[in-house]
Amino acid sequence: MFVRRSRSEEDQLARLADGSIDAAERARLEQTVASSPKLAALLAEQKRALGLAAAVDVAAPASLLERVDTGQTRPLRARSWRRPSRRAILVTVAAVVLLVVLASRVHAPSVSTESHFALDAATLAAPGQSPRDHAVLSAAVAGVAFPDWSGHGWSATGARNDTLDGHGVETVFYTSDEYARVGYSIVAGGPLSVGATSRTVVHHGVAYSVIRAGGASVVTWLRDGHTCVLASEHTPASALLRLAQLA
Amino acid sequence: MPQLDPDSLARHIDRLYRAAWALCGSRVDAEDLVQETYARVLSGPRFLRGEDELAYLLAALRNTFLSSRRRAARRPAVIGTPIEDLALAGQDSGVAPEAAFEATEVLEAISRLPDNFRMALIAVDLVGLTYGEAAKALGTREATITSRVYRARQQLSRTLSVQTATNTDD
Repeated sequence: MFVRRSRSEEDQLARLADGSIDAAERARLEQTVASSPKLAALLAEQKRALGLAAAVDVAAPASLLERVDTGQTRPLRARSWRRPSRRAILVTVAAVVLLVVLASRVHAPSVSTESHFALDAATLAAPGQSPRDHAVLSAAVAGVAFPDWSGHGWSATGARNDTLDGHGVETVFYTSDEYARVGYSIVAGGPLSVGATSRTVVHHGVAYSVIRAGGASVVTWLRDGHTCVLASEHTPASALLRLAQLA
Repeated sequence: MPQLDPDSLARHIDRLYRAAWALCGSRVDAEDLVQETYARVLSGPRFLRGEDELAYLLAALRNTFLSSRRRAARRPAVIGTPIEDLALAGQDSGVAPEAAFEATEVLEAISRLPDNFRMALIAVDLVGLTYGEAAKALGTREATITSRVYRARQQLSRTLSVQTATNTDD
């Protein structure tokens, strides 16, 4: 519940959170906060927001540095009159081709429809560690092996096999002490449609699409041309992204 | 009266880019906003009246943003995500994906704050101005800025807590 504080109290909490309050005032206020759970909660909110803002480590892209390089900067005209760069044209053409390809697959299975397998119950025992490569499990789809994440605190706890419109779908479930269960599905065949509500993050040349569907977080990417899907109802997308990088 | 040194602009570009992104909620619009701001600043000699360079540039960025928003309001709205945004999202930033994802979430959440709260939070918590510097840059009293920063942090914290809870509780 929001409790309206006096302006001076708000000022003091804001300054206490970011350390700009003077030393004498700090000691007095810290004592007050220590004896009030409400104030402590309000201070924690301030600190959380500060932490979030401090973690925004985004640098200006090289293209912007070139654009604003002293002497090259010119006032912008309306965007529709700006001549697109060659790179922008190529990227746009590629995006249009991708949209056409995806549109032609409108009846094909999508990541959203597939991801429910990764959220379903296990029907098989978890595969064991591969005897030939300890970094992976003994289960694979078209040569794409499921990772062994036990060294990262995630143990394989079950599996299931499904078929969707002729595509074989294998899923391995992992659990950790910190997070809830996640399902990792690998779909045989070409890439699936991701849908319009995704956000894409690229790392080391691999594009990871993040989707929120039906209350679950879903991360999907390609390995050797096959669609991989990590999904969980109770694990944040950022944790799924960390796992996806390990795959 | 000290004059703005054009060669010093590159020092501040990262912080201004983050501020622009948090203002616009879009990285493409942020690039345009920073470029247009620098173009305005470099269009003639600029004299600093007590502010430091960063506070001056933030004020210029805000004024440019407000002008561009007024212009945009007179044009037909574009529905949906611009294709440039989709394409640029594919750039390899070199930043870990989860960090890039979280940064985008935070910047977009800031961009949805009410105007006054958003600008105060950007000035103090993203750009790093003191409350006094932010008050001068934004043309208001220091106590007003402090109060707005408090409210902005509270809203940001609650918004992102709700998003996380939605992810984990559904």
